[in-house]
Amino acid sequence: MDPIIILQAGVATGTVLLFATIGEILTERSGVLNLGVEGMMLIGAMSAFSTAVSTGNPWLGLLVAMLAAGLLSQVHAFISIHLQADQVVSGLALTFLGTGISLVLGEGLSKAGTISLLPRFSIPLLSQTPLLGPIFFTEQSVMVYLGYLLTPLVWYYINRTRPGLHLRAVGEHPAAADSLGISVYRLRYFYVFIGGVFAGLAGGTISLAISPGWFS
Amino acid sequence: MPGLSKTRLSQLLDAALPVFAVAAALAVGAVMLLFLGVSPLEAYGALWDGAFGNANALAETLVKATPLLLVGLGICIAFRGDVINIGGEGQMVVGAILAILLGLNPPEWPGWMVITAALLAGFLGGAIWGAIPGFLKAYFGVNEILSTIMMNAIAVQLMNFLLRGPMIDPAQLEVASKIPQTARLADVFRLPRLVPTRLHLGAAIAVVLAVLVYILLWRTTMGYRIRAVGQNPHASRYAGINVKKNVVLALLLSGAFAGLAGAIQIYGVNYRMITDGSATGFTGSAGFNGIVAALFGQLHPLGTIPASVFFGALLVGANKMQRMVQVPSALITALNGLVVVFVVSSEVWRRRRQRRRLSAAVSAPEAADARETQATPMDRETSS
Repeated sequence: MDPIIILQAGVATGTVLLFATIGEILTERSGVLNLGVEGMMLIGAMSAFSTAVSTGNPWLGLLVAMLAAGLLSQVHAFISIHLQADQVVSGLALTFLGTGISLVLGEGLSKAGTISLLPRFSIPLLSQTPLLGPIFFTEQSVMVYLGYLLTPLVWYYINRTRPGLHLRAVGEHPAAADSLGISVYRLRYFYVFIGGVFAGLAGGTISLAISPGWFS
Repeated sequence: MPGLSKTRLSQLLDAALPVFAVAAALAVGAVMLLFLGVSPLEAYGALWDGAFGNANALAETLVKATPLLLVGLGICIAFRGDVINIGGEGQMVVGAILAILLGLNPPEWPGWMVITAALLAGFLGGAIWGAIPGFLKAYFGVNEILSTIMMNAIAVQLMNFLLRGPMIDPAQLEVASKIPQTARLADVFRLPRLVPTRLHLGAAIAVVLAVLVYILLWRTTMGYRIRAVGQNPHASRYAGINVKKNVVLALLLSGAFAGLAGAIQIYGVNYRMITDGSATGFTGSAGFNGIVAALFGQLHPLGTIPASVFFGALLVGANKMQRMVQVPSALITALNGLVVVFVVSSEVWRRRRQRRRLSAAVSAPEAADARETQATPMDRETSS
């Protein structure tokens, strides 16, 4: 196979991991470890696909995926933040829960037929670049380009903004953050949610753009 | 003494917590079933029938429970030593590979000797796969949660490579399909069956080992050291215990039991190794479900026995449920998750009561202080 095509597909597949990773980075920086990413991604992939099938709108599917995975993440948030129970175990439970629910609700979806996918396009000038153009900027999904944009933005957010500073403070020294009047609990709930939203985005990217469909 | 009986009562409540957790999980599961338009009573009835309805069903339940129990025993050791082993899947795979290598190239020994040696090979394979993350954690501070997960991925690809290449069944090389599987074990190298069902000797081995692990953890110096390091590494170091060595040991033993589970799965159930590309195809997620079983058994080897039977029953009953009321058997995966959610959550009440028992023992103001310091937000992170 043409190495260019392999790399092109690699970039697309990697985008899924990229979204999930960005989400998990935000969650972990706030001091919560969420091992349930897999479960949240599956919920995202399933709900994105099923929404796209029933409404015909993949963007709506993506939105529902983000919300659904975000909601599921709150189970973990409650257990690990409020009840202060074991985060590893709770994350594992989330994986089971997400896998089970998505397989049950997604039953029959695999025969649902085709849906309209998220658009693919080439970036005008950049796609002409030798070597890099065809790999990164030619006929990729819009989600891939979103990934390019989000990565530096999230870096900037974490390291160069005030809310990002609060995020790091809560994760690195919760007691200090607390005495400065930052609500540790609230921020942790929020970033576990954001982590879930990104995992949902990753799941939706799988079923609506990278390898479309749903297989139970 | 009324005070004493109160303590006794609260201890009984602690022991009953998993039962409440299951009840809560089943209740939430019932709501999900109603949403799917299925009568929960009918579904759970089918589940029960499928798991315990007749001798065959019961035997299947025990067959499924066996790897869960073995992995769970390892998890008891690891978690008691405060190391977390999520590498059960990979350890099972490596144990199975070593075990079947011996069975397919047997020395000139009688059958029982080959089986024994193969099970030991499985034990050894898992031990190696567990010791590597243990070593990395003890001497380089590598987070064992991540390294054990990564070791799973390595083991799976190793299996895929071996079963497609060097270890592929010679018969498969001649046909076009080339199913990635090994040859079958000869009849003499199979674990004997106990009764005329699929129940095999491995189940009995697992139960005996559960008792041995209990003795190891609570009646030997080795187990005492592992638990001491788990509860307070600093105090252990001052007491002269080699903390690093015991971290490695806890993960090594934990992996070894998972490896044995893999070997027993081959010699008692499958008689060959076959891969669908993932670990689950071979392990049936026992490497993960074993963690759940151990937690459900309150990280006690003897408690893990009924816990494994419970989860084995869920897995077996799920198939019957799928046939009888057309609910996808994946619902059981969700139910598993719910059970863990409630078990983990119920720990809070146990901790709260434990603290109350402690504060009853210590003088009142001191206890209040202790509660205050514990109320700060958790910071359970490892250095990152």
